[in-house]
Amino acid sequence: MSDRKPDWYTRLKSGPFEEPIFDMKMQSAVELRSRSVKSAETNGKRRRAGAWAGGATAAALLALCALLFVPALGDPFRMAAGGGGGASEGGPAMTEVYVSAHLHVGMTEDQVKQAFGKPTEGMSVRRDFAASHVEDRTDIGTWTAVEAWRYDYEVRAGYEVQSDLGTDAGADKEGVRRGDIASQLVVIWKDGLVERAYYWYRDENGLAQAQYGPQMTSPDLPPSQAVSPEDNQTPDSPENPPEQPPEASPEESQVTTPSLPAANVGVRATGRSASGTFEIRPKKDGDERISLLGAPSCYGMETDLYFWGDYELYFRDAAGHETLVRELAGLEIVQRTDAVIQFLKYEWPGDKELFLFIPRYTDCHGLEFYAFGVDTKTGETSSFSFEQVVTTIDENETESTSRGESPYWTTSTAVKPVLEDGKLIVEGGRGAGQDGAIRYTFEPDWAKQRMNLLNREQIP
Amino acid sequence: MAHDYLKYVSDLQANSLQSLMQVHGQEVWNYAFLLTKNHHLADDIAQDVFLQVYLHIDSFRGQSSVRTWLFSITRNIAFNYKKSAFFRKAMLLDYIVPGAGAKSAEDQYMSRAYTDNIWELVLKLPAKYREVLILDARYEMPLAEIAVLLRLSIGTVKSRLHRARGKLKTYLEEADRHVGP
Repeated sequence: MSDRKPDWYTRLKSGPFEEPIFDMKMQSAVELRSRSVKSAETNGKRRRAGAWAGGATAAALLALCALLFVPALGDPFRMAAGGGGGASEGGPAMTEVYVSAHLHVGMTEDQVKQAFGKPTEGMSVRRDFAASHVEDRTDIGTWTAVEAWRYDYEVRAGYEVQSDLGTDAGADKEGVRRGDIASQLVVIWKDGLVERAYYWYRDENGLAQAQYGPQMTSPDLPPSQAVSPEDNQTPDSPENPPEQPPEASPEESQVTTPSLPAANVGVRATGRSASGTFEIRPKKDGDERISLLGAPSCYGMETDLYFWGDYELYFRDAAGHETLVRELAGLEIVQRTDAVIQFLKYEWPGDKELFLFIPRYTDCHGLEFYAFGVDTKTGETSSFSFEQVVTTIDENETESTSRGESPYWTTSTAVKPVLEDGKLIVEGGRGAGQDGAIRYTFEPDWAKQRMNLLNREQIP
Repeated sequence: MAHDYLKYVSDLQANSLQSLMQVHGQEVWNYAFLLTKNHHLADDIAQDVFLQVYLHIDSFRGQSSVRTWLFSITRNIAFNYKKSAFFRKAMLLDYIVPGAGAKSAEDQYMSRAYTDNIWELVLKLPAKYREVLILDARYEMPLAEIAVLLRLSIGTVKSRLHRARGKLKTYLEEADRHVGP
């Protein structure tokens, strides 16, 4: 190809629009969203819904929050991002409102850093118990190891923070009471997730404490030393937090938070063929992210695992030779557990096997899926695209159709694709306000690695 | 490059995010628009891009320029949007109806606001040609960088670019004929 650029290239040097569109208003919206990322997650709008369905609503809510909490939000974020610990002029460095809005049990370290910045200090303590000792997840006093992050806000110049994880969960309560420290936040970790947190600050009545997560014994108190609610004269007093776990709601006590699998290693999905095995793995040197879904939504439950990144599909034949079949960039996987996803398998006429990979297990409308195949005689693999027919109506109301290809297709959540007479029958997803769905009939062209669309049928 | 230091950064400060948005915000928005041809989608995608940058700055390793990295995120987010439930809901109809009889008010507004009417023709190009053309013509991105961004071989990039130029040339000639001497 000639390197000489066409003359009309100069017309494309600017534009497409004269006026800047990504203006200060949009930039401010991003900044607000970055500050409220946890809130967005809680509302199930973390990535797309926040922009898609909730764009205007979220912006309005954020603007309202900004109006209500500008004094509270502005400084806390700045201080937290800086790691806390310093003094600041004017306004509190952190507020209970901000902590309540941005901290919750089950957050990952990254999420806490995003909301509060780097901790002032990471703390850990280990305890020796008898060999028969069994940890009670709900009771810190039984843990053989406790890890915590401490954030100090507005420390008086020259004051040395007193901290011992074995006492008051590592907080310098006296320092806060005297005003040497404006406030302190201590986050307790268990299996890489927030187990509970304490926030000490001063209000008009003196030392105040907010507690997030199970309200249990402090790490310094073994279970036998716990004070029963009856013994505690003022169980709700900030200075005398309830030492004995109060009655947790049944739902809360039943919740088990799954641990997150390691990112960038392992196999995410597999399909076993007569002539080898398909495996979908995180791309080498990739940047796979794994987190909890965080909030119930069309995509699943809040405790579901959310995988995101670039993946590669390999086929390993019987002799152990591996072939890269396809790359799946920016793939999203949502599953209840970290178990390896099994491809759906279809025996195809002519010594062929077709595999469907469905990355997510549920949706309100439809589930996208990818199709792969293998010739069991030759071991040759296929990665199918789907023929797509798009009908357009132009300005003169003339209807025309064009055919394209899609790397994946969408199936109903309830009725999975079936094989009939050498054809793949797919019931499409159902959107809100639609009457029925479309049933698609595909015939695979193994040579071209394409699913040819034979028929579309409207169904109730 | 003003933001190359970002490869050493694990937490993005608010002022750095602001600076990044000021320098690259419009480019990212333009790229999102040229990918999606939708003003509102471009708004959402551009904002999401910088939110992702804020959240995942530690994943930037300086292997590409900041702009290419931003474009890569833009591309991923744009494609993810296309897969989202909302988009599927709209696309399940298999119909794209730009409006009966006449251009929508937004279309009319947008065509007035183009710096040059050539952009209308660019947006008529199929996505795979449009994308490679704007990266080459508008952003003057080296072919090797385009190949990395689009995950294509350089040969494929060249081939697409050649066809994109050919198609746009045809569009321009047709447009000239309609205008007449």
